[in-house]
Amino acid sequence: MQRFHELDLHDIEKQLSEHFKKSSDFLSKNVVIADQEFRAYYMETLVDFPTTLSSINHAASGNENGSFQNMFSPFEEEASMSLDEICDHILHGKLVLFSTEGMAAVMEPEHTDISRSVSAPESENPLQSAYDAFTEDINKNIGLLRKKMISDDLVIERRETGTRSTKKIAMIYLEGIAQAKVIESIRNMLEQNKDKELTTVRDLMSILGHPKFSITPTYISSELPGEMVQNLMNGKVVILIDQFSFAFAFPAIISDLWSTTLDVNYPYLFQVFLRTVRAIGALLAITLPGLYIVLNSVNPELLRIQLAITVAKSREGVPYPSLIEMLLVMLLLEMIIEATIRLPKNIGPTITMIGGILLGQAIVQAKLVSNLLIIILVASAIANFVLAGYMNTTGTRMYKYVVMLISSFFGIWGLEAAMIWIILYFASLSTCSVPYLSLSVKGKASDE
Amino acid sequence: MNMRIAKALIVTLVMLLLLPGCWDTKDINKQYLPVVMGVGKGATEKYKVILQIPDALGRTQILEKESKSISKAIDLIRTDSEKSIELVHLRLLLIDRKVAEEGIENIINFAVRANDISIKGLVGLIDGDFEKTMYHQISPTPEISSYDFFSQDAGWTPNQSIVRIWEAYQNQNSYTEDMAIPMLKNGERTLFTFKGTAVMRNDRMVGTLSKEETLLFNLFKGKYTGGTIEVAQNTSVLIQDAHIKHQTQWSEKGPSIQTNVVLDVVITESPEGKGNRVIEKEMQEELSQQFNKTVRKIQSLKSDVLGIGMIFRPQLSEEKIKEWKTKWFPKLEQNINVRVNVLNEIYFKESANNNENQEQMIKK
Repeated sequence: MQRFHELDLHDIEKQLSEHFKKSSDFLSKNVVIADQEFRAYYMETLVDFPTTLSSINHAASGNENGSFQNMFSPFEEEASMSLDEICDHILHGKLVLFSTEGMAAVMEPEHTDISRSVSAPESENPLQSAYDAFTEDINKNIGLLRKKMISDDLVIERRETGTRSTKKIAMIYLEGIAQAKVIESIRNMLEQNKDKELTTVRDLMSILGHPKFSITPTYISSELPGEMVQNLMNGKVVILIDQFSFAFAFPAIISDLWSTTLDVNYPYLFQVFLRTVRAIGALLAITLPGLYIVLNSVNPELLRIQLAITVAKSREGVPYPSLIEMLLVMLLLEMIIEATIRLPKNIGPTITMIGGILLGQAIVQAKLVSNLLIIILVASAIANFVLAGYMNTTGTRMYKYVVMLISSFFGIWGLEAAMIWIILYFASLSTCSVPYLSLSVKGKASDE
Repeated sequence: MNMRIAKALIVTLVMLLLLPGCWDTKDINKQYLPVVMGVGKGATEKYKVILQIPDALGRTQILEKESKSISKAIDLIRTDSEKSIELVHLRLLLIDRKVAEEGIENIINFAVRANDISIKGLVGLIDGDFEKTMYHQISPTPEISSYDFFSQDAGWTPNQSIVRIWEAYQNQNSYTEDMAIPMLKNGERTLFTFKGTAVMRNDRMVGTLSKEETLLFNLFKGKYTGGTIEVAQNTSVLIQDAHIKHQTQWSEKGPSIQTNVVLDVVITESPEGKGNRVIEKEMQEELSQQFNKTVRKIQSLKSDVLGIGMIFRPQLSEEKIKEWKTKWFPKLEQNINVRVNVLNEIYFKESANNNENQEQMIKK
């Protein structure tokens, strides 16, 4: 609540109308609250005006001899009134009231119902865990985390970033468990780059100063609050973005390739088994296509003779060298994967059938590729999707081509070199001042 | 300028990637992968090389050429074949006995020197008709596994000697050891029959050991598990374990060695009424006699196939090592003493009466 000189007030009102001239959902209305006349300014699409008005009136009537200040106190926002700030409030969905007596107030109105309620996850299939998923509303998301983790140590820092359009983000961590240097480095980057616009996840990465080209994701994303709670307890820092139904945990480390935090819901032995399978899957996904080329064209002596003969038999009549053969089918596979991801759920199986069964069968019968190649291909594709999270699989999907190329030039030596190279690459990575090859980011355990 | 350097760098990198790499590799279906190579005497030239190439259907393709050298012969085969010939899968090197009698140094040297031949490959001699053995095929056994004959995971028994290319190379260049190569002949129902072991002096074949004598050789080399020994009167035993100890002495006359062999055996067949102690005693006598005979036979061939020189080697000076095969080995006095220890007492009951009988039998 602020008192203006009457002339100033008119001036501000005029400027306000001018400012939002192009927004057709910007409205101004004359209202009467407790026998006083006001002029209300708000965004029609964000504010449920009739409901707001009735609740204000209800409050005013129950507060008969109260002053004007008291009357608004339940709704009022602390505010100083410059034109820019008023505009900002309106854009954020607030209601601005100007009285004829030179009084002005910014209040939190009832919002129109445009955010969905908490529902089951769409992109993840958790077993044995909570089924709620993050929604678009950042406050709801924070609430979900708060509910799941009742603790004094849960620190939530809200910030805004961007100048042209501002975005609300929240940085969440557990005090005493997350490493101080991680928190510090993320906070510093957010502070330094608070003018940068944030609309996509990549913008967030560039704000946090992560490398532009990296074959492994530097963060973990998930729409499960349960998973993020585990991440928090593992010492990671979680960042929520408003209007984004995923949460991001920083920094990602090597073990995130094969472990989802929901594994902790299983008995320990099961968890070890599952993670081992995934780690083997990671290895196979990267090496199998390269190995096929190595065994087929460069180092056939590595096969046992019985196998070598069967392999040779299955490749008989295939016109292309194994690298071309592999690339051809790999390209097809990538296209099938890409095609199925965005298709509606009721068309997806059709593509799977056409792509997988018909094409696979036909391509072998046409002698374009060998039987063994299809086996290798399917095995590596399955191994690939064993990895935890879609982001991780994409990295290995890409790196497998590097392995294939080097293997076809240098044989088994090339395959080894490629594997050593990826380890060196991982060793060189360091996100949020944590080396990628750490096994834990918890505050106390240090791997260095 | 900077762009130019960058472009040059990229081109150089691509070249570097392509040039030293395996850009000229041939796919596996464009290669013949022979598993058996036979080296025999040619009709017109020095060597005749025969390659056995298995295919997935169990048939064997056989290619052959004659030339003055093995590599040239392989080159000639390669010239005429529609696929490239890669020796990377060669597992068995068979040499004609006639060639072996003239010396196999060339062949072993070639096998070791050739980059693509695995030195883990096995060496064998062919006794009898070389070509017939090489062309011998039996169906439906897949010929892929012809080297399985020697494989310890498949067809090998302690009656067969076994020698790999690297061992042959080591032995032929050793001052103190000679090699023994298994001898094969084509079988009637099986691919090969084992004929015994060829005893080599340096790189030349000088004599043979029979199957029974081969067992002693294998005992010395430590490859005895599962071997069955037949002693007189229907008694058969299975060797479970063998311990060999040598006592060496070097007197004025020359070296002498006393070898104690302890065999842990399990009786598999025995005529009724014969106790373990009788079998032990019989076996000890028979085996000692047989082994000593074999040793003397080997010595008369002047070939140290048992590797006695290796036992003496720590005591020998540089000169003596060089003289071992020519001067000292013929002077060697070797005596083998066998002790047999029967492990199983389960299958044959021995009553008290029987025991007395046994005592008497032993005394006799």
